[in-house]
Amino acid sequence: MMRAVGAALVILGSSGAGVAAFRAAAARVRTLSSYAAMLGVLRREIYPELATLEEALSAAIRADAAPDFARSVLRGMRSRGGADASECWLEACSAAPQEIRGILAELAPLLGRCSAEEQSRALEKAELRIERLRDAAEDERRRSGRMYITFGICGGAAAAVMLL
Amino acid sequence: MDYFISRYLGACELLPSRLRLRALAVSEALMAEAEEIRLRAGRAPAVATASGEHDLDGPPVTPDDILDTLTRAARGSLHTFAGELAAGFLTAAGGYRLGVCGRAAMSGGECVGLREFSSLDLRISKEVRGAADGIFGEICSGGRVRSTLIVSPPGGGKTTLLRDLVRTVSDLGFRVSLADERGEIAACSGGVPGFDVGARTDVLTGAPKAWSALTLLRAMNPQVLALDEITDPADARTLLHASGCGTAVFATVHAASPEEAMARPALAGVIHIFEKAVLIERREDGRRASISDMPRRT
Repeated sequence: MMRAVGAALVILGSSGAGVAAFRAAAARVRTLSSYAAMLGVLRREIYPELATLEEALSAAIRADAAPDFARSVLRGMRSRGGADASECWLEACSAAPQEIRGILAELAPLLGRCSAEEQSRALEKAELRIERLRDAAEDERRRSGRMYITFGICGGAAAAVMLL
Repeated sequence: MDYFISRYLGACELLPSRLRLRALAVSEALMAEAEEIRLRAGRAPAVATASGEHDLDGPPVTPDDILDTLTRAARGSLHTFAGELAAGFLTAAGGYRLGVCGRAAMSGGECVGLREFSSLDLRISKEVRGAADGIFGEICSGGRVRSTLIVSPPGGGKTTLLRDLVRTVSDLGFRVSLADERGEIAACSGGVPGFDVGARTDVLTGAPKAWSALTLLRAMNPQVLALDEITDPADARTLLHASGCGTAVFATVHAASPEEAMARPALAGVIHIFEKAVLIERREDGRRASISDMPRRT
């Protein structure tokens, strides 16, 4: 009886590990999508709307596009009287996923400091780069997701057979 | 804290930290007298007072210092102020006006933007309550407000006097409409004036004066229309229109005397609507405003 319960737990545990890996891959895709969406909102708000950076960040929060990042930049700007947008953006980058930190940091010296068209172009480039990463992550998720679950279940079953 | 010093400290907040520390190191006397902070690329930053410019110690100003100052004044969003910058200025919160020079980008004969900023003039606007006390009696008497032209060379204090005149007339019960193109008379932020422009004053900020004035005449039914720095024939035509509607007009113009103002092409054909002229002169003991009947062409 004890062996049967142990085997069931091993199967469940292994399957859970597979599912967790699958969900982590899906979360990565969602995060990258969210950051790309945020850059899209900023791009449209800055050009042609000519919204201030604060307004554009607020729009990103409303659109639920990387809201934590946008909120962090906004909080920094407001605490410093709206100034030092570049520094606030850079500070917020440290909490962004490692793989896109560099892409976001490259925007810091441009945002709010050059023409709306130049900012729009830079934001579009960054958005495309993150979208490419997102697409790759999506492919990876599809390819390996089922594999994680199958390996989890099979590995668990094999361990259970040995136990039994 | 002294109000004039607090205005200077407010202006320093717009400077990047490396310049702010130097600007804050000057004496309180200089802070109180300061009218402008001047940044010129390759030169020492300077604090301008009525008696001249006082250089600050330390390395010269860089183009990045000027860009950083502008970016701070634009609350991190320079692009939002592209239109104003193309006209050579930007008004920051608190009514601080930043005039800029640089390389102009031209299109179709018009300046569409400025870049490679080379100079910046950060003007420290101040509210001087009572500035109009000495002239007010002649402008407003017998229940009537007389159209008045305020005349002085640049930096003479026309805007300060106009602001106090508007406040005084407004608090007396007259409806005043203020066309505040550069936002430095009322310094509105979030719709609320930063300077006291009176209880019955309606402010339209950010639009060209001629358009603002016509809109205010149509929409707000003013008894007095006030606008700063008449430079354009379109502004003058609007004044004629306002005068024809029975609205008194307060306006300012750059000139050394009312006679010189009359010779300005932009004011030709409109000068007759003004009953009073106020001349601001700089003297060793400060500024002095004197009022007279507007001279008439012979």
